Amino acid sequence: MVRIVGNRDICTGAGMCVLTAPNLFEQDDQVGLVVVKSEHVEGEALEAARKAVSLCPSGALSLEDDSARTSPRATSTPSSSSWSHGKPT
Amino acid sequence: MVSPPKAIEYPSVLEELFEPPAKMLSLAEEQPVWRLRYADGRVGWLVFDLARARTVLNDPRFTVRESGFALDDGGFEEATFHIDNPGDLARLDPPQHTRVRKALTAYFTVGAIAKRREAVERIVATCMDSMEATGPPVDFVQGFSRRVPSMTICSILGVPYTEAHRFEEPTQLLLSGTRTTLDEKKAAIEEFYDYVRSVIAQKRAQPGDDLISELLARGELTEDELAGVAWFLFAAGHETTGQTFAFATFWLLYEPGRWQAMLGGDTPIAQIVEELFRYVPIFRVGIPARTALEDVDLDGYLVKAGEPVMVYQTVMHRDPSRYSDPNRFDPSRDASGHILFGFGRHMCLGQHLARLELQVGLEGLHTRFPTLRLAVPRDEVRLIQSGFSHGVVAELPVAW
Repeated sequence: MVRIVGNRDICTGAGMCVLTAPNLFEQDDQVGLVVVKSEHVEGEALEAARKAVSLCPSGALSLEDDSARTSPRATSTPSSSSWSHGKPT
Repeated sequence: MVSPPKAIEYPSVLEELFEPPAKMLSLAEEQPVWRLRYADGRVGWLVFDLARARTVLNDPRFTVRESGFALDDGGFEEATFHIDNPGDLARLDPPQHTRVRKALTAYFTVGAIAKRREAVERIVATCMDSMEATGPPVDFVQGFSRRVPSMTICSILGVPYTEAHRFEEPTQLLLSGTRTTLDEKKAAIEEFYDYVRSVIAQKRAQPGDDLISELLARGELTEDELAGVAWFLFAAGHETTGQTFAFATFWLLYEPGRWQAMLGGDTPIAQIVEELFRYVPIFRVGIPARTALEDVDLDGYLVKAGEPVMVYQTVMHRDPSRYSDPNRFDPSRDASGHILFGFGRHMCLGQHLARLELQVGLEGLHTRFPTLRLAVPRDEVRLIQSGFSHGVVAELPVAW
């Protein structure tokens, strides 16, 4: 199981998480910031959470497992990739 | 750290209507960051990859208060800074930006916008009724794509649609690139602020069931902040959505049969709209430049304090490492991750409203006008180019 952490101090209320994974997230009525509805996720829900993390514009979302934080994985990487650049050499 | 690559110039001529310049796509293939010569003579940067773009758009070491474009904007930037603007979200950095945006966020959440669906459906129906009453040919821009978002923002802010010219006309003038002078733009923005201040005064005297009255009642914003907020909501609320709607519709009508093929199938409208956002963005380059407040190591590229950085949205939407076969319009793909609405703290406040308007609008149009088509040869459709807009459709005559 992985725990979703939503940091309301960083959240800008863009709502990308709610748009992406409405079962896991909502925005409160008063200030519109993130509320994690379902904290512990696995399987399909974990995939949806990863996607929401990757789309969050403010960096307010993260995933934690029992021991340490896990960095979000890219959601969908097409096989025919050509321009993906790292650091310049 | 690498030595800075040679500065490139942004192509001033549009080669393809719906495609980013081929030269820029090939530059993107070569390296993720280029030096770019800006219209104001400064040499800054152009970023082609998402990871660095995210840093530029969300890192507090970059400001939005000194902007700049790759092509001449005819004084747009200078004119918008001509008015003291403590409430204009697009022109604010934290902590002021955070404070003003916080006062507005709750009204633009996914849930809050979903509650406006019926109101938007009524507006779309009204606009289609009047298209039918007029009969073909109709200018789609005046009759629908600008009208729907204008009527919607009027209903949210609580002003009659008969007043729409008070914010539409100055907006057109501000966005007319080099065809109007800086002085004309300054006059336009003053006129615009006169209007929003008169609306605020009226709401103070006679509160209604609208967002301005509600913001006044909450009392979190100063009078000047509220004026900036109102200008921002009026301007951003109608024009960007209207332009996006017109350009997307132009693309849908550009090839005979495309309208029916794209909208008549089983693909959910939300998915089609998302792919339109990825595929036919209206911006020429993308999000207005940020300026580095201090030296920033942009993952291997040293951006010096004072240098502008632009994020190249239209090209990033064609990144083959993110979208397979990126130059093909494919409504069945997952188009998420596009940055039509920007990214970071300035990500568009009204994005869910824009989605709703396009979804309801296109669905309504396809149902009512399944045979919608251009009423003029496609090469006669006039596009307005400015320092930042790629595809602003001036007029789109349609028939059915």
